[in-house]
Amino acid sequence: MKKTDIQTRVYNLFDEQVPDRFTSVLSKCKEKERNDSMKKHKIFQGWWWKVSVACLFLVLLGGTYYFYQRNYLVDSVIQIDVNPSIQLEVNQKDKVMKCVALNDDAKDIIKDMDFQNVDIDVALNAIIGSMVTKGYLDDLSNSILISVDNNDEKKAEEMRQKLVEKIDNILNTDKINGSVLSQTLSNKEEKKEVSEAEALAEQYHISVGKAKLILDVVENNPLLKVEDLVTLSINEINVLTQGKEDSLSHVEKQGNASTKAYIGEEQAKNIALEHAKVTNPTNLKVEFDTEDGVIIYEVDFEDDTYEYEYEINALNGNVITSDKERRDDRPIENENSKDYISRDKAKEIAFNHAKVTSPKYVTVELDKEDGITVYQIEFEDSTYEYDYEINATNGTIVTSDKERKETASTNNSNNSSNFISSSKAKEIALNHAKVSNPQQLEVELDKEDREYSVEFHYNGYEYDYEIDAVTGKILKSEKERD
Amino acid sequence: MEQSQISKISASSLEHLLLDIKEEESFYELYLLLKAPIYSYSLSILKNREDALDNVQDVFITLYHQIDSYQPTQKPMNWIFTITKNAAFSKLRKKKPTVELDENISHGKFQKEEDRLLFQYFMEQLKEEERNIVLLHLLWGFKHREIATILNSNVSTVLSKYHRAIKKLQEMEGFREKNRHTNKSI
Repeated sequence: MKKTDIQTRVYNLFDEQVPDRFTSVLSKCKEKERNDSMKKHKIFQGWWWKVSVACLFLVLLGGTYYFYQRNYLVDSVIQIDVNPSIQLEVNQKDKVMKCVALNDDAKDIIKDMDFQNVDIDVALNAIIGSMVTKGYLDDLSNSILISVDNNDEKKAEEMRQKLVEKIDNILNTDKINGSVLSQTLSNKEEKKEVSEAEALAEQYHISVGKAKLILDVVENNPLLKVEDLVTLSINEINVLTQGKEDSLSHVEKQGNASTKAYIGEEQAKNIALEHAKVTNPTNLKVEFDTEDGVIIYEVDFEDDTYEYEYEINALNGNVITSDKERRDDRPIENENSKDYISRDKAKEIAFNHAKVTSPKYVTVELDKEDGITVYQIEFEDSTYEYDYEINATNGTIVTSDKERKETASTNNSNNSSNFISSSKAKEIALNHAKVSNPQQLEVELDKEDREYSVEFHYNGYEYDYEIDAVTGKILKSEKERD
Repeated sequence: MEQSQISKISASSLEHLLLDIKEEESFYELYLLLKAPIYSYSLSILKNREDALDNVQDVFITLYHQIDSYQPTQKPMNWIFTITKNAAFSKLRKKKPTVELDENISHGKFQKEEDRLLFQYFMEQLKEEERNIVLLHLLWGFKHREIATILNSNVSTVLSKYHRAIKKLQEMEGFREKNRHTNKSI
């Protein structure tokens, strides 16, 4: 079975199994589009509610669905996340009934403060004040998340707005230019999202509010992963979504996340360019991203030959990863171009190298590999399948691969006594590569295939050989940049 | 009908289609092109037919709604792959911690019994990594070098695992194919 056969075969295996449900996909897409625009509309309406209702009722009624049964006096549950995560349970008169530290940082904040029966405003003042004193909230990290849960959507919304205003005032007094994210957890339409957030919160020991924020961010930024975000502070999450329109669809946001702790895009760009020794980059792009719980700048750019991708630690400017790849976006030029050797010439080179006089099932394709235009040539003789890549410009052999065809006869002679030794196989490969002191050398014997595989590194290249274990013939040799 | 496959269309035509996703015709074309690769990887991760089909649907909905966040890089498949992968893992997280291969995995619709056998072999006998390498190459059209980057491995490992996997598949097909071969070459 040749590559093209198996490719089509495997492709069809999967393709056949996916029924054409395009109509349903399309209608779901349209439906979501409608819902999203309705939600936006709703938020707008909610703002008007503030004016008309806020003056009438400052006393909140009802109970949250997960605390109601336990204590009917709890009206709203409020979660405050910075990095410390604190939960306040409040009654109808806005008095704190219970204060829970949801993580270790929160314990540090609350310590021996007692909020029992204290007005929510006072409690908030003390908590935010303590966060500022202890350095959790400052000019370098200015984001705070408020989540309000109340069975009554309207009341949750009122409470949310009231708290945002309150926190803004407190931060202003401390001369911190804050960024307040806020959300309600009681929206009936989002019931599914909330229960998903609850599961996530339990799994990662974070607040339901933070979990919901993370789900919101991930939904709108498909390249970010939940696992990467759970360990981040609210400011770090806020930084990642900065400047991306629509990246928070269920969360209200005031102010901007502070990036003062970071080296800045300009410096990140310069570090990458200097490292790459590139002076005139094109398509330069710098973006915040996260890697292993650290905020990074992702810097992408190109020059005439390469595409570069850098990850720079946003706090200290260290280069975390750098990657350079040949651009292979340029279209393959006209095959009949004078610059290329002919198909027949390419075939001749491959056949001669393989010493095959009557090849069968020959296929030739022009392709690009690592920026080089090559002819990919496949053919067979009675014993082997061959796979060549010939540089279309100068006719040199880029890779050659030869594999024994599976026949009953080869399987019979599994007698390993006539195998060459592994050191002999190593010697054959090293001689061919003209390398005397290889690194990370690995020799493996595949008895079934009667082949040694020899891999090693040398001088920035990776070598990969397959040696016939009986005859010592080189079946495959590859050399690639590390 | 000539089978449309990702590997047969250029990255830039695919990118065109993708950027044009809000047009129903382009969306449908993309759907037909991408459903097999997306399903294959989803199935490889989720190991359950229904979940994988759900994931296919979710990925297309995400593509449709997130197209504005796509930055044309001439590498549309990388973007689509990341979305597929994240969606699949997010589904996996919501499921039970250990996912066993669904016994009904081969209960999809197959035209021929030999297809069902090959598929079963593919899903059950290949190691997860081998399987992913094969489908990233054959269905997603990634080059071995790109696969190495995706899987955090190196080219030679990917190459040798790929060859080993293909060899296993060929062995499985061995005798039937051999007969066919002999007939062809006469």
